Amino acid sequence: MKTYLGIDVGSISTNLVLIDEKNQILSSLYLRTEGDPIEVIQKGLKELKNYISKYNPAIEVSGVGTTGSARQLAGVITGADLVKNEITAHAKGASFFVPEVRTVIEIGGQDSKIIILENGVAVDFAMNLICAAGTGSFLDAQASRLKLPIERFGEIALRSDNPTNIGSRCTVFAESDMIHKQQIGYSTEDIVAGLCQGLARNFLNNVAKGKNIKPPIVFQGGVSENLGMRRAFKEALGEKIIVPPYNTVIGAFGVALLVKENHPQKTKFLGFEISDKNIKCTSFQCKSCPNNCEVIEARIDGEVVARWNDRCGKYSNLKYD
Amino acid sequence: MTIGIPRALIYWKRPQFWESFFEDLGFRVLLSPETNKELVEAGVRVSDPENCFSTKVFFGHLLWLDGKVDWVFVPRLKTNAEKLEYCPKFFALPDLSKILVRTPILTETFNEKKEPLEGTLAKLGRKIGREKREVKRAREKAFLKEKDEEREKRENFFRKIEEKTTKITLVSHPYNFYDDYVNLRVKEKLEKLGAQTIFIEETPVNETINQRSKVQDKDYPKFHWEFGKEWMEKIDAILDYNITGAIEISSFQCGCDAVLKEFVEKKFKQNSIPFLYLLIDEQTGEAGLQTRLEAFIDTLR
Repeated sequence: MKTYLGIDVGSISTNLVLIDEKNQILSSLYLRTEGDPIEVIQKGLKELKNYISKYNPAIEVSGVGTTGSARQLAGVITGADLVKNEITAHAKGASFFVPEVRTVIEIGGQDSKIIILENGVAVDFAMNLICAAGTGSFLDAQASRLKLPIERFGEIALRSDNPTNIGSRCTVFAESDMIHKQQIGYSTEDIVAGLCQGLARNFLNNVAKGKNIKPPIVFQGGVSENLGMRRAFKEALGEKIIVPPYNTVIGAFGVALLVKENHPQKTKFLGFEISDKNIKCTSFQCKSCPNNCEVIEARIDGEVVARWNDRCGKYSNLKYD
Repeated sequence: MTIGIPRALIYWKRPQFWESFFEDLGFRVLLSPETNKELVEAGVRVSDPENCFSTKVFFGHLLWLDGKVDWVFVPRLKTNAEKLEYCPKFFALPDLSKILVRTPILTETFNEKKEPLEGTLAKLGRKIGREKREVKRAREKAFLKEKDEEREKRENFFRKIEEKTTKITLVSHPYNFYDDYVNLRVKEKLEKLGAQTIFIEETPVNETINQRSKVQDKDYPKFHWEFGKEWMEKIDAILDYNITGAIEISSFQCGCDAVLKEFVEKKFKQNSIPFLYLLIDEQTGEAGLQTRLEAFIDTLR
């Protein structure tokens, strides 16, 4: 049985989605990256392998696609057939579930983006520029400050009838504003709901500035799990917000669909064995010019498979087998 | 005697002219090297954080020249031949430079609204002990070199515009466009993605058409800054050709760009040309830029 694997490695989560030829999702995994993309990819592949041998040993992987901020690294260590940027992958995933979608709001761990679609393809987009206010890691930080598990953040926000106004232009100021609100006696619910509203406002004023937001609006990415954020966008936009199935792993699903559509004759996938191999990334400083680039080197069982992060291409353009 | 020229900011406004001018007057010219990490770090260290990224880069180049030359040439650019103003940061550049380095700063105020370029150049010549007629000859030679370069740019433009690839026009200041360290090699990255880049400055503007028809139905105001008029006219001109998309690259903290961006974006969008806005500073990561470029190219297909 032919299947296609999509891997989305982001700053906070790493997701794996396996689909069959009818675009059915056979398995989906949402794992925390925890600063070690290599280990989490190996862990994900191991879990997937266990699933396959348990439920359907006839499964063979006919194509692998990677996306997310570590797509290059993921592509190197898995032997991906397609390495695709996360905007295209997310647009693909969203338009599969909501074919007539016009706007995608995607908020992940460190990136937030808006994608404008026409007839199922992305025609315009924007990502947060220099500021990461309004992304998942900000919510994570505030949740731990309030000693709330992030999973319960949304439901607590929904309990508020009177969200407090929290300045959201900058994460640092939002935080001091929040502490101030705590100290003058606002309830946790109102603060949490206020944070959600501030985030939504920040997203719409900065990332989505100047974009023509038309329904249907799809909200996806890790932060779309948050019920408070769903409500905040619904209220700020005055439109229905659609959260598609597999909303947290939809980038991985999108890239799986993309690799299936452009499937290779023979996949370059290195096999599930890579989860047992010794994969290491090290870096060294190139001294050839004053740029002093930190070149990163990936090795599988001691053999160099790729190098990157050099400005001039001296190392990244070399061919490795 | 050696005159040092920082290879940054205003240098890129006239890259041929000054080198040729001073060399013809019998000086040795030392250009600071192409921008690299060390230069940027040095510039960021001495610069007020409120300065734009491009100014910080300039300071890095200036510091590199300190002690290596007899003068560092930092002109004070106020208004151009069309009587339009340069960025206010340019006004103060020689004064700030004097604080930062020990090597004497060679400067003169170029305010063409009040004094034609010829007059200012003669004054500059006097400062370095050169006669009027020597300056005249050096000026004319430098202009000829500039003309050659312009012709080359024009030929380049028509060669590129006829290619049957994805054509992307880059709207930016020359000091962002020509400095590959600063723009994170955006041209090379786009080429690898199969796109040809055309710098907006290369676009020839047909003066007669511009003066006759377009003046009346201009959809942008009379800008205060020289590059505002230039950009908008050139965007009008390039829209007559078949371009696939447009990317504006702006230095972080650039106040002029923040105003102009609204008009640039509107113009491309009204003409259904996909538009991407990129902001660069000393923190900009290549990965984030790569993601945006890849996604942008995908939206063009």
